[in-house]
Amino acid sequence: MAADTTTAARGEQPSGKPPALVVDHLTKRFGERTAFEDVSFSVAQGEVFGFLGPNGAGKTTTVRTLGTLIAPTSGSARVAGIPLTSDSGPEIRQRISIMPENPGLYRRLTVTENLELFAGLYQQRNAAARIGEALEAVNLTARARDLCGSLSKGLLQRVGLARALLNDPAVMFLDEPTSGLDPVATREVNDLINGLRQRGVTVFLTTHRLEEAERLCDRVAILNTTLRLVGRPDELRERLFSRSLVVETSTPLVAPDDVFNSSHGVESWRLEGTSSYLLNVADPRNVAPQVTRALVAAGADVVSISESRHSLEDVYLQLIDDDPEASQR
Amino acid sequence: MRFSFGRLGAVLRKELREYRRSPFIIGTMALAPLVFLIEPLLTIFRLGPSIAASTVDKAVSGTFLVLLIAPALLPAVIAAYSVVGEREQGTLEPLLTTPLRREELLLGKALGVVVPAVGIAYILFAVIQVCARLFASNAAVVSALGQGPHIVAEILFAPLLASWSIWVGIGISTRASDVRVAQQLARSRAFRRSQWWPWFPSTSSHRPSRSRWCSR
Repeated sequence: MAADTTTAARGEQPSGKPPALVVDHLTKRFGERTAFEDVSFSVAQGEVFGFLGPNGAGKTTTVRTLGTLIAPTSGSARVAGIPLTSDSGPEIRQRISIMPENPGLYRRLTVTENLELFAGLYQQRNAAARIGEALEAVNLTARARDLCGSLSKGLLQRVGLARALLNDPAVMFLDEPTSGLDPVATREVNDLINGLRQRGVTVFLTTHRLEEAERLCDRVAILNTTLRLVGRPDELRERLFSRSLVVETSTPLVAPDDVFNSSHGVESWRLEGTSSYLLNVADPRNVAPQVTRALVAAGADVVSISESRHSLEDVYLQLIDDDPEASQR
Repeated sequence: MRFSFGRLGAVLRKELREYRRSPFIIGTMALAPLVFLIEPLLTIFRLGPSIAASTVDKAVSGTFLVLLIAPALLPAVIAAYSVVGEREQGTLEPLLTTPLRREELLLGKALGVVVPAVGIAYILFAVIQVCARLFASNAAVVSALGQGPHIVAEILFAPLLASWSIWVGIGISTRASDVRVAQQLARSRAFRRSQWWPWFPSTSSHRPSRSRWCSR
């Protein structure tokens, strides 16, 4: 399946602001092995962009390439408005921040000392104030003097996020920020990402947690060496799945064909279980009242009528199941 | 973006903070030369007032040999850990995601090792001078240890040898994929380098001649 690279999918901003990230036919190969190929997309300023894909799909390599840690084999990109070239690495890295999956903190140093190192590397003039703000943003001010070696994994992720905030980045790359975290710590990190969105930070988020991507991301891209889809989660659902209504009655209908075929807009239906029916419809909002009237007229005891919602996980699984490369990984 | 002393300083501060948090790193660094110095020091202390000049020279040369080998040996293991160690503990990638240049990182790492290594070498030298003045009964020994060429050699060669050893160690560290391999290689390189000792000034008439050293 080819990636959708229409204007909307590519994230071009109606406001005229230049995109935070533009990737154009980018490819990275390691010898014979292709990490990712012909990847094109763009991310608007202030957007939270989800980057999904199975293990080995090339997500982290894409982040490392856009973060100037490794050079692309071909293609081009602009990161935070700066063209990705062999010379522009330090300049780009000054304007972005990357939080790897493993926060990589010095365990013998305190939280503040770790942040002081990075504030020094970003040459922050008012380092102490910046560190204070970053710690406050991740709610870690009380642990500032603790050794990083004494912190839980969730707290270390928060320190990693504080570090990523130090240089006030134009684009923040978060690589699996909730990997290995318990639900409470995951919720805290998600709240932080929402906070970043409110501050207008562009976030490039790679994750395996599809419900997280659905909840947090304005748009998502699904990568499996090549880019399979880019779009808003609801757009992707609509593109891959027909819209449907789920009708549940207390007892099975005597003549369901008569009931459903008499309602305009019902394209097809099928029985799911003993007294539950899945109706494929063009427009659930218009069809639902008609179906309700038909059911009442037929004397059915209606328990519920609701629109069937396909999750982003359904979209993802539909794409990946169709992909023989992914199943081999 | 140009070379920045600010970023270099940030790396150096981090290195020194880590040493402060783990004083054993520096403590164990000084341990080996201290052990090696015990025997020559005892020899110096045992020399009586009427011992032949050649014996005095030999004892003083032995002591300086250890003092000059120490700065080459001391930092090798720590330097070898510098880059591969960061990689193993997962801290290298976050560093590389900042504007830090490769040369700033390596120079900061090197300075972080050279400062304690040279410091320890100078302290050992000073300790020997003080001990000789306090405990040696042979005046010629005290005089030989305090000779200008010895002091100059120590001041000049300690940082040079330490720097050379550190760059080799860091070079190995950037290429190695395992900390243990890097440290073994760095130690063996440092030992090989210690064979250069005949080049250093000595009052000893027993040191191997240059031609003999070259023919090895």
